[in-house]
Amino acid sequence: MIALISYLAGLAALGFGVAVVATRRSVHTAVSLIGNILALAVLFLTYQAQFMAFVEVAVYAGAILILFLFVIALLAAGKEEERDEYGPELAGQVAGAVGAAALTAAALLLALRVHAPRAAAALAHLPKGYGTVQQVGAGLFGSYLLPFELTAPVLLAAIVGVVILARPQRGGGEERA
Amino acid sequence: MVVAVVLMILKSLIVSSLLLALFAYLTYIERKVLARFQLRPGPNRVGPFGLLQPLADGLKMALKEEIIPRQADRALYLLAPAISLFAALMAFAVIPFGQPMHIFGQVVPMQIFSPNVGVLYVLAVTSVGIYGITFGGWASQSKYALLGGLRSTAQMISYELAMGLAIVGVLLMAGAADVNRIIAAQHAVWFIIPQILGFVVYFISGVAETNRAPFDLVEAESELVAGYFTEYTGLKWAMYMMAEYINMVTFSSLAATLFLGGWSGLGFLPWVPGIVWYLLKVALFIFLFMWIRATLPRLRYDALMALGWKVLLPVALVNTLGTAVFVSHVL
Repeated sequence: MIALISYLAGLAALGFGVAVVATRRSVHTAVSLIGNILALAVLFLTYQAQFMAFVEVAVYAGAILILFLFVIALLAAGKEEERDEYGPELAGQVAGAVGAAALTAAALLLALRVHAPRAAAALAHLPKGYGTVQQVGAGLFGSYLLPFELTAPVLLAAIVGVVILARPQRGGGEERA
Repeated sequence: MVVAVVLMILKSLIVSSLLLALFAYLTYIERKVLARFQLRPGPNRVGPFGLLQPLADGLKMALKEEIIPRQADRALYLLAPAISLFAALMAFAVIPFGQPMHIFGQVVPMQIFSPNVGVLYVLAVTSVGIYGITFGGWASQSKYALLGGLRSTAQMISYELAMGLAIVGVLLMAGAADVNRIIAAQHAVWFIIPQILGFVVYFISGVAETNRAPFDLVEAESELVAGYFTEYTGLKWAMYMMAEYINMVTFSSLAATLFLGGWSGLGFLPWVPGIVWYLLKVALFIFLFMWIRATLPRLRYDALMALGWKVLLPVALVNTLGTAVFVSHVL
């Protein structure tokens, strides 16, 4: 039962992932990405990682993608998006498709042969309380405290960068070209 | 295993139908309450005391002509109200509405789904519900709908932050994110007393999250016609309404669970079942919603954003820090 659900969720995640690349309108791409995130959350749930599942949905689907959509909706309100008329040539397309298929096949093989048995073995011996807020928090603020805290300056730098980029230029009052 | 799955499906069906029936009568109650505040009788033509009004409304909705704007993005236009309603119904799944019952030797918890991070589940699912509004506004391809959709999205993600932070205080005090353990942690004193700051922030952001007056800028009819659902008709329009009212119920239930001890009652009335307490507390919050709608004028949009980011968020932060210090050093 759980295995079936996890395979279905994995398939859904793959399908939505393909749709992210294949759809033309940017809003549809965003919809596919949301579907992908939800499917991944279901995968987390099948591995007992409830905290990760809900945080993934709340942060990625609930906050980050909504901001993407905002930009898309504001920029392309009522307009058809411009299409790229000068796509790659046929030979390039074929080579790309074959390469992608080969990579996918390799990844699938690796996943089924190597990771699936390991995951099954690990799932059979889950420590008690695995995936709870307490465990994740202990990891985050215990063994991984330094990397966790190091993300703070990175985010701060990003915020400062945005403020500087978005600031109207001093003097002149002319719009930037 | 099979029994558990069947029970879960049964409970989901019962709770979903009850929520939809509740929606119908909440519209009636709201119209009656608003009417009383405005010294008029309210709906009283259909059936005794107008009690059949919701049925008449439902019939009218179902028989309305479906209109899909030609420019609309069809698939997304049809999907959007479904997302809203689906998320609203899903979010209720973790709300415990009574003490576990014993039926045929089985212990049946009065809750559909009990993850160890129930509070986060509600936040995650409601944040998915926002997409119903964003997509609805975008897919209609109409300027009022688009502006309404964007406005509501901005409002909801802004207030979600303050709301999440306001809840952190409760989680810290209970030492858990599991709703049942939060209720159990309140047996001495309801969290509304130590967490009064958190409660105020939570309640105000909840009114904004559910897009209710005085934060209903989304559907500010004088400027945006009806906001994101301007182009919707019939049952699809009704689905947005259902989502709004069910969200109100879920929000009130969560407020009761986090701050008023959930279904646990007052000590001197031990014979009153938990579900009665639960319903009383939820009714209290829903009446508050209606009272506020009848009393307060709508906020201006920039004032709403300033309130969210410059008042509620800092207050919630201070509350979180204070609670953390209190929990780690005093308790």
